[in-house]
Amino acid sequence: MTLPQTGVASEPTRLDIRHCAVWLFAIAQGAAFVMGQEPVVAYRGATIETMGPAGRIEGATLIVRGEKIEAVGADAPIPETARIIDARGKTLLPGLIDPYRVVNIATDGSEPEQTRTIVIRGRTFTISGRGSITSTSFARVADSFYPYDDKVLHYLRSGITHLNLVARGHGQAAIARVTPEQPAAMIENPDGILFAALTNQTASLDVVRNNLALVARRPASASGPGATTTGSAAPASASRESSGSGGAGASSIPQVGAGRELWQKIHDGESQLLINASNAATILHLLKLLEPYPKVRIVLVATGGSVFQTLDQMKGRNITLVLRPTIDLVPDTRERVCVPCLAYKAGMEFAFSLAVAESDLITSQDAPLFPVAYLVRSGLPRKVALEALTTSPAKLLGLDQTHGSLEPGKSANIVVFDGDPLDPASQVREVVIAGRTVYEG
Amino acid sequence: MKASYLRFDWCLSSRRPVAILLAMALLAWMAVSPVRGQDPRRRPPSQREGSSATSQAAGEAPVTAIVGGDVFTVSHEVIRRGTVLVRGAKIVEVGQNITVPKNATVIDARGKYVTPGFVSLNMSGVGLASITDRNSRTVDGLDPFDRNIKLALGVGITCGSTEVGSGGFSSRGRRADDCFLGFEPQLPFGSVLHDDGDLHLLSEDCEDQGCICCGMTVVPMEPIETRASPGQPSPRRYAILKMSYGRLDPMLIEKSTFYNPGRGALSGGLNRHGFRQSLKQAREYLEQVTSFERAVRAGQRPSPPRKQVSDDFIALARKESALRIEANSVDEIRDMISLAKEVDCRLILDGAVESWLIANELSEADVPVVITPRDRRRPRTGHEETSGSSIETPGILQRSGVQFALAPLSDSISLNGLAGRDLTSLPLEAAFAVRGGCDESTALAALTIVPATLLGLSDRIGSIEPGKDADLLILDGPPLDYRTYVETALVSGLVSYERAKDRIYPVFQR
Repeated sequence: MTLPQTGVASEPTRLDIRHCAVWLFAIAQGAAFVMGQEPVVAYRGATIETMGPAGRIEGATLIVRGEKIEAVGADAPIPETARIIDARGKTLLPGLIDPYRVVNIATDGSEPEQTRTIVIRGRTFTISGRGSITSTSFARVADSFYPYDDKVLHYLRSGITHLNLVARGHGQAAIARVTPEQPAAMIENPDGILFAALTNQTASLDVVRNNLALVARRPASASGPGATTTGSAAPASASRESSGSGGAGASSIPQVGAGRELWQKIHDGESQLLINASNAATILHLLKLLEPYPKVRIVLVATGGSVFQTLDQMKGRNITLVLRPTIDLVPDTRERVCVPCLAYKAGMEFAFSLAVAESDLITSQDAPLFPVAYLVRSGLPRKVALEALTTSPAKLLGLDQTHGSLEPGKSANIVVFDGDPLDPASQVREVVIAGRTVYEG
Repeated sequence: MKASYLRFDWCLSSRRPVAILLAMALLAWMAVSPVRGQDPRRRPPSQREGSSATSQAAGEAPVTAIVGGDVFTVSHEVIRRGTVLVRGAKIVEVGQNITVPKNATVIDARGKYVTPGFVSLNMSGVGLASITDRNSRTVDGLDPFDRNIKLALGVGITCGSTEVGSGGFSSRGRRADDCFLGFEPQLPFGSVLHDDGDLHLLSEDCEDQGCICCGMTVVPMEPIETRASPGQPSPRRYAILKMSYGRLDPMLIEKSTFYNPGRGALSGGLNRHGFRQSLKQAREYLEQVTSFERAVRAGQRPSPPRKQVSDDFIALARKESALRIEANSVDEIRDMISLAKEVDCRLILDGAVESWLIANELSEADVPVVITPRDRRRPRTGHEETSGSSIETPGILQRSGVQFALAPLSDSISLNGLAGRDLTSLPLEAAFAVRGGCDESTALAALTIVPATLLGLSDRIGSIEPGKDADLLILDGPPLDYRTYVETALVSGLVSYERAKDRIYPVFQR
């Protein structure tokens, strides 16, 4: 049964299919060609603070291919397929990295109830509850990360592209990038450095003390109960091995090995330990308990006043500071002091954290880098200040190979200012993370 | 060939002046030599043997010299316009003719007075956060940046004993089955010495899960704390702190100080009996330990003695610590003296309001007291000779030979309310003691060497002598004058307080 024919060629099938196939093939190849090629963007004519050996380059070009920076320089060749962005009059800075950002992570309710007894004027009170600040359970930030942070725009307007997320208590940090459109990809490194919040009390100091004593006595590689002890570290008191084993938290069992290995790395100086010290006395206690472990490297988050009081005793030790970019008061006086300047003169490495105090982040939104500019005006060299925002945090987080500066081969995290970054009148115009524009102001 | 000097008329020759000089020198030497035979303690410290040798000792330690002030050594005489030489944390020389090394930091104390730092036996809220958790250790709660430290230094207090919470030095013994408990008192809480010499770390969880390294069952074994009676609070513990602002290491002095069971804890037959029993058990334990050690040295493996009393009683039995208890009335004081004599332990009495009535008994029993002269009691009408107390107490005690230390009206530092009632009024108590008839030197000793002796630290603090810790005060007036301020305070050799810089007390030139 044939259909009514209206004059179409009688042998259509095989030739048409071959045509279609060829066209489809061609289209597919073309598409593959186009999609396989990463997008190239070139920023032309900008002042670039590379934060590398090249320093500050005027009228330069920055070429981004895909997620990485391909070339930086006044005479960098621009590929033909590049999308050219005219960046004359603008300044490019590497994405700022904030080394200490506290997030609230959901507790799983398995913390033990703690009771405390206090005596006030001869009457005894018993208080019980779940103390989240002094809890001894290990918190892994990457596991409980909630990507919908209401401060995302604050970070981007300040030029912050990466955050080191920590929680209260102690645990393992995670490095996140500020990409609100890709919440699933926000965690760049779920296995960050270990952090601990310390106060002036035994329960808090024991977290660090016991764990270091344990790995000193029984290196994580050794197994079995009869392992010989090196016996050099002083015996620690009650070993609450809460960093991984035997804690009351339900999530601690799989981390028995992980916790010990992390502490082992800290003990051997391979990774850093991030400590938030609540007061100057805690810093002294920390220095004292680290005396038997000379290889341990510490990143210390503390107020400017505490750092000022203990600076003499911290010199020459393996400590990197994380400071709030502000002028501090000498404790118990009305004298003002620039602690970052003092730290720089003492030869200590330090990094700024714009978000360590939440109020700073919120109130400084009109001119986010103004506090840093103020410090530069108070005597801190500009180069040091900018380094403290970019390369220093990258180095202390272990990201200095891929983040922190605008050099070929590094991740393309760029902040575009429409003037000098430290000029309060200039604003963030664009934020690029891993080659993608995340924010346009 | 007669020697010309043998002739009588030699002195008439041209060598006459020389001869006269020689004769005078000979006479002078003969006059001075009896002095050399005197008691060495009575010689000024600068002439003591070995003082010049120490000043040349090679040292990296920084040298400080306090020059030109009147030095109240407390243990010896006052040295007018003397020099105190400090190297590191110790005093090396005290005297008038001391050569100051070139690299020394010189503190000019001309017109000023140098005294030892004052020692307070009652102190609270200075340098130590209040500890409520019974597993907390005192050493972790130290805060060398506490502002109260500066306030204490501003009146001259450089060392003090402070009460810590019931958890201060608590040590709950835990013993794992088949692991033998090291009896060394220095083993920290929760550690156990295994058979192979390995050290196990125990924690609360070991009770359920077993020893973390070897899995053996852990059985808790707590030392029996003898409470005086169910309603009494547990004994108070003390920590000795030095007011070294900004420095952690010199701050805590580890020493067992006092055993204070609390007011009224030793009144009544049952309590006394408990106390006697505990001391007896402590002595028995000490004997067992010595015999155990002897057996171990002989190569045997005896079972270790079980400690059935807390460490407090062992220290009491060893006389390392003293029984410190409050006793105000004559009967209470007599009670305590007889109890202490019976169980043979050192005794220190707090309060001791009516001690002036039985001063000779206290002196015979050699019991020191800690008094607050300004805390007066009204005598009972008609019994003025046998009751009450006034500021004359220190004078009476001094004349009877009773050692006394001074305590302020309140332990803690307060910046509001009436001035002169808190810890910073400690020198004022000494001034009132003098007002009541006591000697100035005794009153100064009651602030310095006597409390140091009661704390067991008389070899380290309390007076200005070579070899002691350099805890010194430079005052701008006589020590017990109400107008006097501390200009500079040194603790363990370092300047910890300067009146002009710290601006805590009024700064003006008089």
